[in-house]
Amino acid sequence: MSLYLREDRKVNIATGSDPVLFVVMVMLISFGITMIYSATHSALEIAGEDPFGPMRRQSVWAAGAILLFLAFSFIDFKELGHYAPMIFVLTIFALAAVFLFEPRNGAYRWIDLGPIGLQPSSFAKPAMAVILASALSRSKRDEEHGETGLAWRKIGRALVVLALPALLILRGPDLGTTVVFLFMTGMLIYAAGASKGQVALLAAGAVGTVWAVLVSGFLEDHQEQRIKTFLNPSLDPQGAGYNIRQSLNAIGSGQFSGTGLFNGTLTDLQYVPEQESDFIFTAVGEQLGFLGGVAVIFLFGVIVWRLLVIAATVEDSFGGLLMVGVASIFGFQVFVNIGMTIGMLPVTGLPLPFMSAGGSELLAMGMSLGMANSVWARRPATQLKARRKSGQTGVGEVVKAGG
Amino acid sequence: MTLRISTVGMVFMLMFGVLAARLWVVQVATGDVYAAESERQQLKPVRLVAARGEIIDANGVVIATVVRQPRIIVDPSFIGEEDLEQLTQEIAGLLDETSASDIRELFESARPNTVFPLKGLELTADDAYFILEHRGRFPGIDIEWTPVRSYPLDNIASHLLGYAAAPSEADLERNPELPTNGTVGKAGVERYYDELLQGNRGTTFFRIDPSGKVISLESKEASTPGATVQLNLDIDLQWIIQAALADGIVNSRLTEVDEDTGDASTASRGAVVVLNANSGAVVGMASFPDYTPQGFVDGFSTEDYAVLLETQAFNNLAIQGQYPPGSTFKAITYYSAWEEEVFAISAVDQSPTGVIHINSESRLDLPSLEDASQKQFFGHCPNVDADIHEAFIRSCNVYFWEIAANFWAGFKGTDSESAMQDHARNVGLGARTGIDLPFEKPGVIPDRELFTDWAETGDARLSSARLEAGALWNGGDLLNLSIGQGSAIATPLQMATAYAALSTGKLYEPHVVRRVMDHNGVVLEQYNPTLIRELELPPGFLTAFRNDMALVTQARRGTADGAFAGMDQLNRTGGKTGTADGASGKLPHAWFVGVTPIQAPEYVIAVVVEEGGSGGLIAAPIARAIMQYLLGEQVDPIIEDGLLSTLPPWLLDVDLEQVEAAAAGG
Repeated sequence: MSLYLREDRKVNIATGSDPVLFVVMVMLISFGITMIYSATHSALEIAGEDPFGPMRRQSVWAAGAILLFLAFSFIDFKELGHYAPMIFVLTIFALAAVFLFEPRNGAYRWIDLGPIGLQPSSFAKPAMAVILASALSRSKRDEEHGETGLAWRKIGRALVVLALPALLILRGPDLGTTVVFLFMTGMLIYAAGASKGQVALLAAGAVGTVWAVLVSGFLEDHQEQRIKTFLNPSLDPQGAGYNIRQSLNAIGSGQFSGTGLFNGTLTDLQYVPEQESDFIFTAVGEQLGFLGGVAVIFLFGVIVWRLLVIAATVEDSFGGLLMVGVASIFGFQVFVNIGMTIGMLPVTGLPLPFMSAGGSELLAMGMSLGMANSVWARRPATQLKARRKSGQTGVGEVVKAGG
Repeated sequence: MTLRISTVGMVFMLMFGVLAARLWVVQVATGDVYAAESERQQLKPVRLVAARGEIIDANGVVIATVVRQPRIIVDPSFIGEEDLEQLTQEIAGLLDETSASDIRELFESARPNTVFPLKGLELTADDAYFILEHRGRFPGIDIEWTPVRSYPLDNIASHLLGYAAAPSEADLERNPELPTNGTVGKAGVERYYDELLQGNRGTTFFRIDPSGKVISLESKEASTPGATVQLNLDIDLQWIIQAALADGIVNSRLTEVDEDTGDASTASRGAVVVLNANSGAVVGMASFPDYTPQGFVDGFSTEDYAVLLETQAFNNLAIQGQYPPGSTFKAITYYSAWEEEVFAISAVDQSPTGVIHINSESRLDLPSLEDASQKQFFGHCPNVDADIHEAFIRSCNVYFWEIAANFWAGFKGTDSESAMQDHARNVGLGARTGIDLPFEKPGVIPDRELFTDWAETGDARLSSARLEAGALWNGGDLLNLSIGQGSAIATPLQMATAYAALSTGKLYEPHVVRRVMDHNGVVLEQYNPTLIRELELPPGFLTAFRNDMALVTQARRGTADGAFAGMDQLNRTGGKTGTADGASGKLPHAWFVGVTPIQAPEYVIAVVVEEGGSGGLIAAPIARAIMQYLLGEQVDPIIEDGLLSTLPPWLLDVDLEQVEAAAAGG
């Protein structure tokens, strides 16, 4: 199976793909579907509803995610870079569109399309990775002028393109995704070659902004409350603190090896709210214990490791930064989500990639890894091989990479 | 850029490492804490009811027990929507009082998917058996038998037993451990020994979901029934006592008339205490009016309850009734005279006006108050030189006044001024006896110190006239005390205790309960007689006192001669009458404290009939009937067709051994 987008970019996706990335992704998705079943079936059985319903829905989304993975594998990542301005405009429109629909639980996050709803903020994550990577990547002019550092101009551009989507999402309100954007931007600026002085200055600016946001009262009451409750859960044992307490109870009672798959009493009795979505890790922790929890963390570690390996392998500046961005999304979101369930971080409403029930996030993550696979499949070694096969001699950047 | 990517990788490695480390802390290092907390919040303990312990008499007769009362338990998982209508009709058909729609409501108010009891239905044992025999018609219905208190003997020993009922808010405040769905002892032995009778309530643990809905039964710790409490009470004797007391009160109404007003007696209250003279064991105790403790289980009718409240039927007059002891107190004056060797030696001058003067007023420093300085002279003391024996037998007030007058003359203002009161306290008067029953009253033995206290605290028992006169305590008060009048008051139990001490030389703490056994019969607690003190009686006192008590019932001139005449074993009886002035315009309280066998005392019987009239005529016959039973005689009726004559002959017939032998033979 191969798709020839351009004569000089002939790539065989079947042989050029990263099997580890794909296999681990499928493992996590399958495991996620299993845990969704374990977290929902007993309550549905008691209510007399179909216990396989949420599992089936997630499976459909999973199929979509895998299709998107494949589709984005075929798309040359460099094309994405070229379309970055258009992607930016689309993202802004989608993020703004949520305010046209009825809020759910007081939050504007959804675009309702009849039977399904989509969350633009999920898709905004890979989109912002593309946009920011494009803004920060080395241009032809950099190469020509032998520029080594990161120009303030680019940093400024990145911050400008970050500002509007971040504010739209924060207004949603969705503090978690906003923080993901900030983290990703920071990582990209660093990876793009910012000097120590620039990093220090930006860090100071970030701290100042956070302080300003806290003081200005831009945060919604419940967001402030969550942070306060996180810092002192006993403030609100039945409200926001309840989630953290029950999550800790469930994970803690899993102990070393867990209570056994489908055998979690707290999970079955629905003690942890949102345990099939944001708090899916509690089902893992209770039923599979420390061993299961560490295995999940390890699998995510593998994904982040593969993404960074791809970032280091690709000789294209945009592709490398894109991979750092995607790795940031994954790594940070896993850290924040699991950290939240084990009482280390506040409740922010960030899902666990591939595992939490929810379509948009799954599709967006499939999309993200599809981009990674696309980068990997177009790494210098495969392109050389492909060209050799077609009898062409290498020209351009690939030859440069060899040198 | 590769270097920078490695740095980014290290950041993520660090973040994931922190996650794993924290996970280790939560799950492995402190996982057991979270596991315990999870288990605790999922398990809802429901305290069970423990069967209350039995109360039995000295011979093992059951006075209070538990019966298993049925109630309907519903398991909705067996009941289809189409069954419900049919089922509620079936249950309604069984219970006359409840309509099908009411039952339907009960069903619908319960949570689905959980087993629940149908509350508030009057289900008889027959109904329960019917359901159990026709299970096919009652799908999902089961019967649970709950232990419920039962008092099989109606009103017998009601005050001694007390009763158990649902705990009030005050009870729960006092002891939060009490079962809100169970009972707590409210009075009598039920209250005093409540902790032992309660037993240990088991607990059922239900697994619940976060909303508190019961998911499943997790485990059950069975209850341990309460301990069996065995009383010193002889229930056969108790039948006699209660019948004799009731008949005696009727006797007062039939025969006694107020000499001043001409009104017939309206006596309606009285009490009896029978103690073992050598141990303080309470072998019988009655108070009239009485009640049926079962009413607290089944519910009293509104009218019945109103009557019980109005007649203060729940008061145990044997320990709460405080009456002036009247002439029964003369035993204490008698005892004081022997102890102090102060007897009356002067002749008593009886004036033709009926007012007596003891020696000269000036010497006695009598109070100027009328009620204390002038005493009506009662006819039964002939104007002869009486000694203390004759004075006791005839209950001659004047003689005892003179003793008091001599005490006053000799001890006034000295450390021994309260010598008579000290002797009274020495035999247990003026303070609670310490009986194992709640709400005992202490009585009053007055002296200068007490009156001073009363004056300081503004106690209403001290009249304002006396306060104004500034004479808080004087000779007249001592004279009043010497014949058990004035401010002196005592409970029937106190008088029984005092007479037991004076006729045996030993003061015992009266005790209702003999032993406590667990539900397997293992003795947990054995109550041996508690000797409070041994009296150092003057030589010759015991013989003289017993002899003089014997002559009260046996000699023609004795004040109880009429009541005891004709008794087979008259020579084994003895005692002292009392006719104590109470409220003005009412008949006096009739007292009798008897001792039998008088030669070697075993039992002391204190009887009081409130506003019943003459002690010799009204109280003494009650004591006589009880003594007849105790001595194994045929019990003679007090009144015609009274309760005593309705009792089964084997109770009235003294020869219990014969009955027992017959029962054993049969």
